Amino acid sequence: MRKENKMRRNGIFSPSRILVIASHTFTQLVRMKVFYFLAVFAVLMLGASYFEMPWSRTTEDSAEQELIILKSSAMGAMAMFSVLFAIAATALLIPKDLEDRTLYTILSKPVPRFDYLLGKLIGVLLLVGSSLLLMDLVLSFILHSRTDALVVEEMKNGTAKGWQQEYLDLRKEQISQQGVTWDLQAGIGAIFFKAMIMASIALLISTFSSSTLFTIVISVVIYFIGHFTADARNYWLQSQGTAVSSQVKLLSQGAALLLPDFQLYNIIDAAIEGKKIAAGLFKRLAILTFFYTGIYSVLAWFAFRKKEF
Amino acid sequence: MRIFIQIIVILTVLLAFGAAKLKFEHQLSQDMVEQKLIQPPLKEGTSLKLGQTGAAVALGGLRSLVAAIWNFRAFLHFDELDWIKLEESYEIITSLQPQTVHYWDTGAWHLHTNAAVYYNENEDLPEFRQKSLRKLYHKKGSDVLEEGVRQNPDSWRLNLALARLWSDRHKMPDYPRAAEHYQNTLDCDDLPNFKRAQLERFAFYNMCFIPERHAEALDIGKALLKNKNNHLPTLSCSIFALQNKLQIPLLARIPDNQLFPSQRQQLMWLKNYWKGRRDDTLTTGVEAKIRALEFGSTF
Repeated sequence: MRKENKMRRNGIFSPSRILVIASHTFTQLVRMKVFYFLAVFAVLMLGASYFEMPWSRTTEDSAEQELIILKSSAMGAMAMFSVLFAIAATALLIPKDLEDRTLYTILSKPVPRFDYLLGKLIGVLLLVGSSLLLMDLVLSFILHSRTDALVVEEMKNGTAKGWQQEYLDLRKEQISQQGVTWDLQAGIGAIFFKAMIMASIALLISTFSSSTLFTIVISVVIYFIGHFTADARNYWLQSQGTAVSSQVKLLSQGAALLLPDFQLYNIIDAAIEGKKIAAGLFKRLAILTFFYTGIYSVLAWFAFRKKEF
Repeated sequence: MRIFIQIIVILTVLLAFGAAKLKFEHQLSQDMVEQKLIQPPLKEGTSLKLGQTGAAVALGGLRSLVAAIWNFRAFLHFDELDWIKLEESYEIITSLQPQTVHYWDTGAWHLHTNAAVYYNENEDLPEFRQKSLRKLYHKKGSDVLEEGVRQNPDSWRLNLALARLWSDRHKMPDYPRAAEHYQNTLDCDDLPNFKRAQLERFAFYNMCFIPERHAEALDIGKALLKNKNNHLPTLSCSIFALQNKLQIPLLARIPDNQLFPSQRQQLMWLKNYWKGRRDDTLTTGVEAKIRALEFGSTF
């Protein structure tokens, strides 16, 4: 009788239960040896830090360009890893639980399906987040030391050439802006946001797909199209009144409404170029990301809630 | 059947959510473009030129990384003196990263300097072809910079690159055009203060090459002279020559003792100015003054 009451109290959303599933998922993924990628990343970073771009000319901003190249390769690898991993890991989760029969064990207990899905998603995001954090640390360390070395070199060079103090200060500021800054961290945050959305999309697809490969392929296609959503939206919003065929209009409307706009997350490029990213814009991007993740997760639960295994 | 109903429900929810987020997303996108945080959409045809790389750009969403790789590729084309491929590469690079001034500047420099000189000195080509190709690549370089300025109107670096290009006597100088670009450079808000005085002098020197604007140049020169840091040999000599050319009456002229620190210095500065003169350098009265000073110094 008491047990029955306890079961009834077991609501749809329990943070502790979700955390248990998330930590289990995290451990499960760690055992897949994904952290080996970090060794590859560290080697890539070390290589990039020693790589000297064969500049055809030395311009005033050659030092900055060197740092931009370093950041480009690092953040390119981070973006690729996080998105591919978010898709592949999420696509694998449900089929793997089915194969191991863990799914039956979990769902036969009073675990709401929403908690199960959310736990799985958070587990994947925990892994992506911690990997990104580790990569961020490696990047920050190498970038910081490279920036310092370039500043010292430039100051030495400038002093020898008799530059004014004002110019020396400006050069120092310009080079440092390409180093480790909060704007760079905002760029890495945007990489994580992108991975978050992709993981939730993969989760949604995997709830009604029977094949892991199908989930991965469709997610990648959505990711691909998501980069053209902005073009579709602009085309739709700005082509009103002009001679546009109804099919094209319908297609652009559909893409703009159904898919997330991944161009917004390309503030990664701005971070690489050392541009300032306003906190307000970053917050708005975070809100949008949580909305997307939330809506895809709820829809995933909707498709999964009465699924029979 | 159930799965179809589920898909319809999911699509309906997504459409409703899409309609709700559309304005928010559009506004955020506009704000980001305004603050130059995200690049405007790729120019028509760029994706085609990118080929497979285009897919990578879309896949990774990392235009800067692809631009850096193409920049490396452009260097290889430069190394092989393949100017056509180099031009194509920079077209792609600047489409990917239109807000990176460095790419516009370097791409243009390859065209108006390296390619133009290469063709001009290519002895395998008939002379008329050498000249026409030199002119063509000079124009191409200028066009790249003009497009860069169009997309980055506040960039003093690109405006300055154009001013330097059109005032370079080793290329195809067009001083009135260079004067416009110097003015645009000086009008840029982000021009550092310590550069301003130097660029104002350069703009003045350039104006001295335009006969119709000599009176205006003299006024600018006089204004520049008020700043003690501008008391430099070329500026003083140019004002001296301008006053002679415009036949400024003695009482209205800036006297020599205000233009030059001493007669000895005046002689030295004018001699150097004379030695460094070009066909179009303003030298009215310079030679005569040198003689007079030399004559005076012997007594």
